[in-house]
Amino acid sequence: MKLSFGKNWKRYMFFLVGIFLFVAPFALVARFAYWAMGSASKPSIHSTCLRMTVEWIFSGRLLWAIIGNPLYVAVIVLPIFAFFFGPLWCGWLCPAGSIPESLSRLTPRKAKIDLSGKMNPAAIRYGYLAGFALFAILGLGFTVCCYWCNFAVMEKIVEDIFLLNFSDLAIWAYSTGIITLVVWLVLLGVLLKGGRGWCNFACPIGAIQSLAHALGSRLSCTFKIVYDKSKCNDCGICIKSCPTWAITRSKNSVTIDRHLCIVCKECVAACHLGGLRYSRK
Amino acid sequence: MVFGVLFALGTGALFLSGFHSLSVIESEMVHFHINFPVAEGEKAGGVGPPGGFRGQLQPVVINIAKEGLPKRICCPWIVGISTHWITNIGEKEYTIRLELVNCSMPVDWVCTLSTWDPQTKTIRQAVLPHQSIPGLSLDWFFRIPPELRNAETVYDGGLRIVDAQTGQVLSFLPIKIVVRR
Repeated sequence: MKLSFGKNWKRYMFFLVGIFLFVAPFALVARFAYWAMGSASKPSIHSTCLRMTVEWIFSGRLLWAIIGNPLYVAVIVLPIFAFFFGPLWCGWLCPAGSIPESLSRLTPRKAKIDLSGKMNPAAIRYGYLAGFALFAILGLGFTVCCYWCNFAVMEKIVEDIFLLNFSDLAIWAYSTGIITLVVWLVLLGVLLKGGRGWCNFACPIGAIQSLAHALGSRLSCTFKIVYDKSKCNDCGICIKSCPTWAITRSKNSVTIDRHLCIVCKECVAACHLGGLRYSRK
Repeated sequence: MVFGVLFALGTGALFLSGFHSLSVIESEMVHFHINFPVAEGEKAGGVGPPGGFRGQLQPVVINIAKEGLPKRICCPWIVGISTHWITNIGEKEYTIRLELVNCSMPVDWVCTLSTWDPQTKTIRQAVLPHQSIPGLSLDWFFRIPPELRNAETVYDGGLRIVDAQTGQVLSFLPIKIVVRR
């Protein structure tokens, strides 16, 4: 995976951009929107929260929420965008995905758990999304949405680091926050191949975008990772480079699972023969 | 078949996490709502968002004995409570000040509003009639001193909302921190 780091350096710049745009103490998107609206609220990842908005879709509160804060419209825009261009948010901007992925790259390969090719994470994630929707419909969405929010935990850590203030109690004052931190960042992040375990198994926002991408990729007019068998020497470097385990080997060829692909283009950068590209056909 | 098993695994994991949240919901970072102005004797609010969680209204009771193990290990004897919902149910606008009644232990107040005055505990923006404070996140962290840790009732007081201009009490929500095994 480290092989593709240099060629795909722009993606890591986008990771930083994602942090500056959405995460406190910067949260530039929310900061600008609140300034425009004259709001006294603190700009943070909550201002653009995608987990709550997914919950509101299923509990029927999304419209009211968007009227109160137009930034929440992102939960509609992102799947539409993913339909035509792939889940670029997940692959290029999402701080809750980019941080554990980046840290996982620093972990020695031998210390990492490799579950790629051994199971279908998309099935687990869609199951998780179904449960998430059911809880929202039953009016218990907050018990799985806010109490297990990896975005909130991530933001507290980023904020503490940038502000050099480690006395913040908000992560440590509830068990689910502590468990989320350990599972999201350590077990499914740093110690897992690709570092995208939370994205693969338990991200409802990613699940919706992947579903949109899987549907959109059937059309010839949409963008996706395209595999060219004539340029493939079956070296398998694309499989190793994929952080979401979306690429698997099949009979002297590779298969890309659109339900997992986040169009990060790590495979495109890793393949020296040009066997993979991001295009419409 | 395999897809179905994994799908059920994902749903099961979600259910487990949801039920775990429900098991600690009355002991860790308890969220509550509070309305004002409220006449004496009327209920001011309760656990959960407006309307109440499972219909529960005041008093807000936090039972430390039900805390989860990770919290007990990482953050013992600090009790967090939080609100996003302070609602003006009256007919005129108010600027409000908040007070914790009967509280002698150290408490950290954490508010996300730029209009929050941490010295006077005043929200320096008018709360309009029939509206909540938009984007509010207000947390309290009670640091329970050693001498209170063996008591059955650690705290018996509440949150008082006062009109910042006149000093008139607008609302009072009873809050209790207990140890009930």
